Amino acid sequence: MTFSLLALSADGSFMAAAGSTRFLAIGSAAPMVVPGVGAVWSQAFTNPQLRFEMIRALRRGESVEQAIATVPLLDEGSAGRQVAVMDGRGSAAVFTGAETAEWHGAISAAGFSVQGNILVGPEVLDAMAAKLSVVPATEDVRQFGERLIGVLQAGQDAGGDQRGRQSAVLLVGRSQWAEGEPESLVIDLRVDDHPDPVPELRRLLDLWVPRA
Amino acid sequence: MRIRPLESVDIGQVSAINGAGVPGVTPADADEVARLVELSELSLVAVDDSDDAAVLGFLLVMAPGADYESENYRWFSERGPDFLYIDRIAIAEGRRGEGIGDALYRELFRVAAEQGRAEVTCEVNTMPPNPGSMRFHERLGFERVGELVTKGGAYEVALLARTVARA
Repeated sequence: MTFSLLALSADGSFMAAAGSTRFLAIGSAAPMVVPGVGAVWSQAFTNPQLRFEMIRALRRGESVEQAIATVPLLDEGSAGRQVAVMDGRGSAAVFTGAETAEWHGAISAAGFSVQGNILVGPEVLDAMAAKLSVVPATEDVRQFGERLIGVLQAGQDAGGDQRGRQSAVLLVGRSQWAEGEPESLVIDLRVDDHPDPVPELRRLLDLWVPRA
Repeated sequence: MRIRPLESVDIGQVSAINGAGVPGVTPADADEVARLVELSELSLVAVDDSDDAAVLGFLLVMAPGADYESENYRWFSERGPDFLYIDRIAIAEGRRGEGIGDALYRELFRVAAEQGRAEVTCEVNTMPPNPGSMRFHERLGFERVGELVTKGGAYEVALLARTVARA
């Protein structure tokens, strides 16, 4: 039903969550980025609460592996969930419940994870992971956002969600955060309902101006 | 072949068999094996009928409440049902396919039923894939609970559980 990613920018200063699905307003339920803590994505039979729980676990100082291991305790329906967690250093862990619909899967490497379910096949995540594996020497936050939308587009071009397309989201926050710094996200763009949401997300990013 | 409890004198052989089983099992030197045995609820070896000291395979099994950091063990710990968790099983090279694994698991299932556990659980690597182990576990009635990708993609495992038949 969804293909999504968590990723760290080239120099590690930003982390992001982005994805697209055939469902209304994916941005309201699946992703969460908390500056200085981590990025989370909760999908399949989405349990939005798991985002907060994963962030709480990271705040307690747990590793992403420890955080993801608490999912079955927190959620009796864990077999139907898919949950990805990444910390501010780009270490990621993904759980895919056995009852999530095919095709489902996840790929992770240093600095990113991609995960999906109800996809046309493994080629969606393969295309996204191949593109995410190519990291430029430097990038500013806009270029990082553009790169991630390019990754979503590669997933969509590979077939994406079996059931079609409807919404997309891009959230970017600072990987490191110190007391007194702004806690808002740097980029927070959502396409809630659109026949071709990923290009629409790209259009919004073109309109986006960094806050002074 | 017969099954008996793992003794401290077996640890060198167990570590060697474990080493030959990598990447199907994670590496463990003798000290690490000793630590894992300490954490185990049940540790078994299969030995030759004619030579009780010749280890052919081993099985390490943990119960809930062990101070064990494995994320897979922790996953099952958080999941709820009372369980015995197979941390690792390995069979000596050249002795695979003789039913040694079956014999170790038969004893494990017997103990699990005797202790009134709800499930026997384990994981099987999916990257690198281990189709032999997956077939073995499916044949014995294990079912997939989910998949975990951890350590930046260095580990990908399928989490498996088998209901314990009531004695």
